[in-house]
Amino acid sequence: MLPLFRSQVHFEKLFYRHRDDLWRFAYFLGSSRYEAEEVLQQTWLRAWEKFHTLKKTHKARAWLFTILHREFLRLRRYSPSGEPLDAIGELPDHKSENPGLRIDLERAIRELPEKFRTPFLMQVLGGLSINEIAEVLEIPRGTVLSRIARARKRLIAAHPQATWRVYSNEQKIS
Amino acid sequence: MKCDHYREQLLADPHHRSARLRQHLKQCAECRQYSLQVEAFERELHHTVHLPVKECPLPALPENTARPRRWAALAAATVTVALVIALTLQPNVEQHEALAITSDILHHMADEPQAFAGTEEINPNKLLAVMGAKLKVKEGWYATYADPCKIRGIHGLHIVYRKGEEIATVILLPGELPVDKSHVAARYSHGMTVVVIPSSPTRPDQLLAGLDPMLYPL
Repeated sequence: MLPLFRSQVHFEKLFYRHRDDLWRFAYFLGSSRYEAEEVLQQTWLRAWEKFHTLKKTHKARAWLFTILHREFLRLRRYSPSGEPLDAIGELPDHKSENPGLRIDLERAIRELPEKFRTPFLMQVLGGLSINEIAEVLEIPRGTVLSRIARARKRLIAAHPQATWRVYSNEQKIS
Repeated sequence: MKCDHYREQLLADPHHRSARLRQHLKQCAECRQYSLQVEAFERELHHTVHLPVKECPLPALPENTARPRRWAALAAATVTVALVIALTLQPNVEQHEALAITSDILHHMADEPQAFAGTEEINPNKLLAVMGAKLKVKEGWYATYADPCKIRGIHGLHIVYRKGEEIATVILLPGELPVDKSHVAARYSHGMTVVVIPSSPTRPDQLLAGLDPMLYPL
């Protein structure tokens, strides 16, 4: 339950708790870093404006993801992004054992059709349940399940490396 | 076909496996292999999407004019605390029940601070009709909020009326319920309870007289 008096201090707590995943959601939804930052800016302003309508703390994450998605659609409506994916600018530094695969995967996520990408990211980054996603996107639960499944299927199919690692592990086990 | 169905489930929500899916995976080697692929993919995916984030400060926030009036919420909170204390000290059963109901009403108000945010006139008649009632108040008062509510498991209606700077909250509940008259005022009519709660340092009985809510059955 949120405190009765919702001051800027409470809002700041919410901001620092969720800003990273919201940033990532905006980053993967948009076609450029500039667009992501613009969406985020609008999201936080809108969230502040509507802060009094947030009733339960445990719903804050879904609430913020909903606002961000709406702001994204709103900005797209006013200025449809024609920027190609190559205009993203410098990609984040993947400090991993397989940076090539991750950059490819990141690109593949961005290239998913928006109707698959949005519910998929809401689940993966937002941790939203299927029911919550259905509610936010105002589509039936079955459609959410099917869209997320298709998103994953496309990404797995586009990355045989991941499959290879499984078979390799299996062989080691046997 | 059966395998396709289970694979679809795996792909849609890999971290929530139903009992049937787990059972199928035990029996089907191909699907088990497929689930390992999905798991491997999920690991890569986790690292990919959780990319390092550029630290950004909170944007400058404008004064939030839509926030509910703090004094209204403060009044509700203060009275609630007083009632909780009284509740623990009160031995009389009827009075105990009245305090408990009143406390729940005030708790509900505190949980709905947005009820005080609106200033535009709205028409609560449709919601009142659902309760089989019509409510008339004195001229000058107008509703700015109406929403169904639930107090102690009883479905009722929460309405906020305004007149100039004055604000009155009305909770309409079916049945004749006792309330604590030192904090709220109530009127019983046609088998219903109309509770009136002040949101400023007004006496509840004065507010009840000022608002004069008259209930009519539909």
